[in-house]
Amino acid sequence: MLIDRTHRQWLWGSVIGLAISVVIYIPYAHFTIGGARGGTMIGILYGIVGFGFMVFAGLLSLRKRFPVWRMGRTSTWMRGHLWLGLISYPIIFLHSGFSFGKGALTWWMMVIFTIVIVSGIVGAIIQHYLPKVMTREVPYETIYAEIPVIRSQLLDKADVKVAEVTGVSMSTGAVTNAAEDAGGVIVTLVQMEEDVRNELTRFYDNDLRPFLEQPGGKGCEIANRSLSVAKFANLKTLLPDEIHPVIADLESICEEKRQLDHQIVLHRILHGWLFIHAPLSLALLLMGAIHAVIALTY
Amino acid sequence: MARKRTAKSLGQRHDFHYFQRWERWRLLRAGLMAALPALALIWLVVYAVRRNAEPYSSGPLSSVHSFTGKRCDTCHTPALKAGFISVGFRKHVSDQACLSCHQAPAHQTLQTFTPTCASCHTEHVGSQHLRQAQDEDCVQCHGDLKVKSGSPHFQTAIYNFDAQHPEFAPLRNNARDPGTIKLNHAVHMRSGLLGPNSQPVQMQCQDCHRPPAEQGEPWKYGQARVVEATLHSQDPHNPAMPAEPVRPGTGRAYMAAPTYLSACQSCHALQFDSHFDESVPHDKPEVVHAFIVSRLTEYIKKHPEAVNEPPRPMRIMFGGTVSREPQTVKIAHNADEWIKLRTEDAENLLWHKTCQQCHSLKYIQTDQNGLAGLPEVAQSNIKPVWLPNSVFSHYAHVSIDCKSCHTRSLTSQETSDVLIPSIRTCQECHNGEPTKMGQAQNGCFLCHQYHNWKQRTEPFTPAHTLQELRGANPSPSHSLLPSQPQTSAAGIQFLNLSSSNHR
Repeated sequence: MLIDRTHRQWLWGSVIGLAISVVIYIPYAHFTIGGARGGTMIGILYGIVGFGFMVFAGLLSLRKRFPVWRMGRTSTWMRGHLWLGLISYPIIFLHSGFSFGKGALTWWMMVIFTIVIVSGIVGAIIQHYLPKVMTREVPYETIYAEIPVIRSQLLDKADVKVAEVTGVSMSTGAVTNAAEDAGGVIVTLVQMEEDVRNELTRFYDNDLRPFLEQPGGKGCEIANRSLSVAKFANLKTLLPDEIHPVIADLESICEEKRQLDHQIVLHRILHGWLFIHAPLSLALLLMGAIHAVIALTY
Repeated sequence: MARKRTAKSLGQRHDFHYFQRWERWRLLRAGLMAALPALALIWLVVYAVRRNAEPYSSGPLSSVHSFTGKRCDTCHTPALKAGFISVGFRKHVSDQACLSCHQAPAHQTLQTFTPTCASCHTEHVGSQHLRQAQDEDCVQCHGDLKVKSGSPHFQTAIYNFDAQHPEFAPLRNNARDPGTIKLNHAVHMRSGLLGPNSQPVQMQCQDCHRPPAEQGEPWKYGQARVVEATLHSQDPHNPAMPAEPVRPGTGRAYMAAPTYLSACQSCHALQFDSHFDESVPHDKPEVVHAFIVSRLTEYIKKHPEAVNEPPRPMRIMFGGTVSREPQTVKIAHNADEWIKLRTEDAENLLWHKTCQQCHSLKYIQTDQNGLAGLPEVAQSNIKPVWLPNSVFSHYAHVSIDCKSCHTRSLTSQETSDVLIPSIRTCQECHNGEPTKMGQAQNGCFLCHQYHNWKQRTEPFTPAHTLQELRGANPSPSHSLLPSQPQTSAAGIQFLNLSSSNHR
């Protein structure tokens, strides 16, 4: 989510709320016998408020699962998730009297809470900057879950393009489909010398097809844009002008595949932190609820 | 044909039910979302099945309570009970739970409120000793001391030891030492003092002042053979300390009152007659009198010719010591008369000179015949503890030279001088938190105890069995707990469990 001017109210609200909490805390900690701790009345109040914020932050995922619910805009929930979740951390420290937890449960909760908050902050920063990078660097961006499908389609398309030129099908299925689309006739569009055909076939077999087949294109030279441009330029030099449109299409396919690979990388960065943040948040809420019941009981 | 990217062609590429598919990353995330909370839950369930509440502990137990470690219910009991049924949600540690194992005599009968046990004795903070109540616990009352009735007998505004603690009461009130043993510290600490056999000596504090645990060591100016008798002395003026288990500091906290036998005898012999090399026992005048008569009787039986000995112009003691006292010139005509005259002579020496060097003899009674009776020796009134409302350990300060705290001991000439150090001496070291370099701890608990142990009742009836506490029965029967506040034989009520507490 873009953290922009629309967050100003949340920012000031959080700062003021936290400031009030700290102002209350100072005399409370000073005058409370034995020091500030979770078991005092004010300590419990801090705990309730902090845990309340955590629960609210956790409800965001629920809100996202039911977008039709008329319970405020998801963007508002997201802002609340960001800011209330953030200040819940210092408030929980006010609750514990700046102790990191003395028992195993509370210690683990604080460890997990710290990881959740740090991962959340990292996630917020990533979510702020990376979408712009994605827009700039991946114009062919598509739905992430569909990338394998698209990649397969690109491969088929490349096979057809090459078959159109060389008459040699790399993927029988793809060319057959293309032939059926063309009325059941397989046509070699360009008559060319054997050497030329071999050169294109060699490039396709050795460089382009392996790159299109595998996600990521690791080990393929044309995964690198500048090398790819050079390779295609070299190919154009070797092959006759009539084939250049086909080569341009192959280059376009290659570029789209490269962008899809890049999208995968960016997507994993953009959402990878959630693998830490979300499950640990859920575990934290569960442990927090247990802690609340146990602590109030004893 | 050139490759074209139109909205339609792009749209046709997609499977619009893609979101219903569980692709790998989505599956992985969902798996983690389920696995991590489940892991946390399993962790807690495993402990619950083992009846181990350790994860929920708010901190490690103190070492003395660690044996109850995993059984919270030993101390955490339901606040209310209706017969056998627990009522209420909370299971805080009640005073009853503490009192089922511990005695806790009340602090003061006039105190305005009684804090709960747990409010001062903070548990779940690890190895810190439970006794170490915080200053704030004390200051909540003593910062502005009020009592139920009348006016407080103690300083009413004490906040800490550093600056707001009053001077020790004996020094604050210019109290005088009530002891009656005449002792001039300045003389005894002087260099070149004549010691046994007229040899010059330099006395040290520990030559006379020792804790009970060190009484058995050889005495420089006493007689080792009488030490045993000293230790088991039933002398009401110098009661022997009770025997305690041997630990480094046991019997070394306070100094025992110096005794004649251990500290004075070598220099201050109680010789009574030139015929005897022994001294009279350091005991009551009646015992001394009987001893003298007994010895003289035995002597005259063995030496009947002694009746005819001419009286000596000056008293020459055994070993050649010459008394400056003028000799009574009386002639005995028979053994009985000789015994009587010699007894009078010896007692005259003792009552009027030797004993009076140290003791105050009230007066000498006369009998029906007008003869001098036995004197009455004033109580020694040695005060073993000057600050009865606090505790102190000389053992903890064993590395410090006595005179550096008891500064007046070198110059004091009167028994009535109070030689305890001023609070300023203590404050030189005890001026802050022990964690800070160069500072010794100065919490109230270091010197003071909340509970008035003088009001302790014996014997104490414990409410638990060993099996209960060891966990054979994980839920101790708290029906054994006292349902009514305990009351000592002296009528002092222990912690008032039914009273409303401030916190």
